[in-house]
Amino acid sequence: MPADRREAPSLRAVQELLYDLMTAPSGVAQGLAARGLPPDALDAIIAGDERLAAVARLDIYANMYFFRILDVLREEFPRLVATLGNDVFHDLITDYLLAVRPAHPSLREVGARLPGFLATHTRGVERPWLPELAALERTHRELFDSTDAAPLALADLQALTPETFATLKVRLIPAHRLLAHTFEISTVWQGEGEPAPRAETLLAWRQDTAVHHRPLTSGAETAMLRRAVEPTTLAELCETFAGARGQGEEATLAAEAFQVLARWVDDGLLTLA
Amino acid sequence: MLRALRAARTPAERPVDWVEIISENFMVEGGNPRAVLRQVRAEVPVVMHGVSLSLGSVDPLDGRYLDALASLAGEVEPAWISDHLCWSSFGGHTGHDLWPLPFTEEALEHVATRVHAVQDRLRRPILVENVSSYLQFAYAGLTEWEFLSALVARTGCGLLLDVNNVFVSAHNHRFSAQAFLQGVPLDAVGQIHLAGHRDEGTHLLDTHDHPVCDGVWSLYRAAVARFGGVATLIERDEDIPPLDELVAESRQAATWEREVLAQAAQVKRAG
Repeated sequence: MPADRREAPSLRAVQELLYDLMTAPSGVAQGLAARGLPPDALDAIIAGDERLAAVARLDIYANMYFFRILDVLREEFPRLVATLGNDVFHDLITDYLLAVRPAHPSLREVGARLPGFLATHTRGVERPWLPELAALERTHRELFDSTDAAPLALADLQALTPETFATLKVRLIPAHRLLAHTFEISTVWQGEGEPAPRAETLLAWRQDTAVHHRPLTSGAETAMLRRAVEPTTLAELCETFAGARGQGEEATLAAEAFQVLARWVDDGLLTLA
Repeated sequence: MLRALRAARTPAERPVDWVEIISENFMVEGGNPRAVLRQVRAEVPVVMHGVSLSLGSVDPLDGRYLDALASLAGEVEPAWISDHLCWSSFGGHTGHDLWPLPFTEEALEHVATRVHAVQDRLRRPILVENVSSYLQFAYAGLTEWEFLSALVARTGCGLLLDVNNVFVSAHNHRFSAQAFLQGVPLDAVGQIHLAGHRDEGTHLLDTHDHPVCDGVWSLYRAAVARFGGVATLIERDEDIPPLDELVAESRQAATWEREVLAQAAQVKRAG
């Protein structure tokens, strides 16, 4: 086995230095300066030539590190990009990667903490609805490949006997989220400019391969959804609906509750517990 | 692809004989990726190709990642599992890139220890792929092919020979691509990758967004002449053309392989 050519730095020392420089926010040369190292400090480590000096070679990796992640996040947060513009989004991601360094082996997770980071960032503080918009975009990404469950079919519901209806336990499919917003984010999603500062709860879920969301306009349905997060019977869901609605004819309340359940089933939201 | 696989009435009509997946894209709970994978796996064999094992990193191996990889392998029953000779994490942080290693004895010992650990966990030998690189280390005493050969000898792993990566790195570091092929152990190559790259003037960049170029095809023929018929896959991640064009390019590889092997057989008979 040939000996290494000259005194070699340890693998750990090299990886520490190169990682630091490749992830420096303004390129390798400035990364060297920030560490108090001269511009030619890399020459003993990286073999340069007349085509590319050592710093330029490492800069190729530095650029790929940033732009690969930027591209993934641009795809994941298209509405946030459209709202902020490319340049501001670029700067936001520069700040994000400095504050929240990627730690998961999958690129899928690289945007997981962007909504939370945005809430602390100047851009998010200036426009406090932006983190909520980002959270909704991230939710769509997460639901796309979250846990499967066989949805209950409408025929299953219609075939139930009164006894089974009272005892059959159901729950919401795992691929759903209830998002409480302080702004009407659903309007921004539809491209209607700045949202009104009005509280809104959104239901997001995946049906087959598509992710949907809709604002909840009925407090009774929201109460039912919160109940259905855990295993519960259809009868208990109807009771929750009636309790949230308050006074009313029993038959009318039951029919309304069944309508809600039928919509859930149509949307593929319920599964057997 | 799935539609074309299902439309095939005979194996000969299939657009591909097997499919390679990026392992990390399927380490998810459910949804469309897992559903499509199950359907593809029902049609053809699948091999798993990872990008995050980080075999050369000084960080500890990621146990949770390995568990997820083993779990996916248990479900997919892949023909083989591969990843890259590189490091992609430091200090618990990931770079989502394939960073090159110094080809030193220290790095070799380090990588060999980790390949052993991975193979023990997965209960099978893995294939290790050579990466495209844009820098090499001034103090490294080994060539890349010497490093890979020693890794094979120490661990029993196989090699995923990326012919495009050999071409790109040979240009960027001015070594002989033929010397690389001649230096790699004859019976270690379990798979070949082909791909397109971009000429940036000062260097070649491995982009997977172009068809395979003539120079890489030529090197592929040399690889087939040396290693014989090896399962070959063309990687295309960007600017993906219609399936017909991809399949035609894949069939070009099969045609070259047949021609080179026929020529070799002819020479052998004549000799």
